[in-house]
Amino acid sequence: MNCMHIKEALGYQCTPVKEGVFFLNSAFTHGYDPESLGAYVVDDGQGKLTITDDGNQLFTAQTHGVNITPRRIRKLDELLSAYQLSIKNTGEVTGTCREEEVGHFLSRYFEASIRLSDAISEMFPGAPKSFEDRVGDILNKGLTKQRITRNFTTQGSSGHQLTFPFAIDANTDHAKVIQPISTRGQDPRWSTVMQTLGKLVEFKQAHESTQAFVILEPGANAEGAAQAKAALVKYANILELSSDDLLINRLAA
Amino acid sequence: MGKTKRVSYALATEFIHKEKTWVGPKTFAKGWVGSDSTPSTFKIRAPLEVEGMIIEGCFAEVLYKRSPSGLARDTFSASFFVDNARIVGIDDGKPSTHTNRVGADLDHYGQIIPHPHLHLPIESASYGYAIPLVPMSTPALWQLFLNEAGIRSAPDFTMPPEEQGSLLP
Repeated sequence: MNCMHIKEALGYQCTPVKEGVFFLNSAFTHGYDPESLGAYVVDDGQGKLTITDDGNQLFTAQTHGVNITPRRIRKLDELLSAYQLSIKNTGEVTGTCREEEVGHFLSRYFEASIRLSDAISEMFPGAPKSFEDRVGDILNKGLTKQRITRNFTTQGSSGHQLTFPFAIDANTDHAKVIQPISTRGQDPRWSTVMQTLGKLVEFKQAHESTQAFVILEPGANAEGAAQAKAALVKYANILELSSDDLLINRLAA
Repeated sequence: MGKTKRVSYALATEFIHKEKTWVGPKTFAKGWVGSDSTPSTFKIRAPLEVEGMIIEGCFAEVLYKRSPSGLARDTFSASFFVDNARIVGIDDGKPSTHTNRVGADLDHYGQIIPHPHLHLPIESASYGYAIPLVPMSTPALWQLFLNEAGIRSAPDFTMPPEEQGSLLP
């Protein structure tokens, strides 16, 4: 394996570090910081590759004042385990694969790193309430408590359990499920948009007559908001949160 | 649970221009703190006295990481926080890059910026715009950071101990 192979086969920018070691720079960023996500690839010469971030993901989190505690490491490690990656006791995000799997493994590594960044962005200090909490506050203020169900769970068409952060009048013939989607930088949070799309497809197949609402946090650029709406509009009513009263009027109707 | 936070440009520049005095450790040697979770990284967080007051969420922080895998250079970061959000920072040592996606009217807009670089707030975004720096020593980067953030009376930069164990009394 060499840089030429990595660049041609996988499209990442590749810099040799020393014999059998390469640094790959991706077009992905931490999200909360425009720094690119990268990976070192260590080739043992026997077909086994080790991928490591050299501790840079947790380091970048710390540059934003995030306190990396053992409990948080456990939480992040749990997230990574679905990708055959882990956080070593050195603070490195790392995993191993066979040379022939490297393309797939690196795609999964960068997907996991994006999810890790999302999770880290929730650990920022002194941040205001999340958008989901804000929507919860508005619902609690505008509707009677008995009408609101938090983390409403139902079954999708495939039999999987689907959870929506809120439901109004759950388990009635006029129930509504509600999914807030926050803004990340200048875009809707795409990971939530994609998860919501998958969830809504299953939900609508199983519960065709139940209304679903997606509430977008304001602040996204017009293009990003339009793309999110286009992706979801077949399955849900989409509201951009402009005022508390308008939201309640739409949802209480 | 929170989410990433940005302060306004007006607040960021107001605090950059205020007189700020380091009231952290007198020397780096006495200040470096290690962590079991990220044992290659050392940190100093120093409160700042702003016009005679210590204000919550306004502080300076220095990080220094030795490559845990042994594959990379040491990594350095210095940050000035207001309201717990990073508004001025210097980063050095990583092979990754920073792309300026904000500041369409500025010189380095759209550019891919390597390390070392300096983060400064700009009118359209209090975080996200970086200026490339010429490579220089870590003590020189530290002095540059102090000038840009307007922090006085901070000690000179000295390296953290070789091993975290050497921090123990």
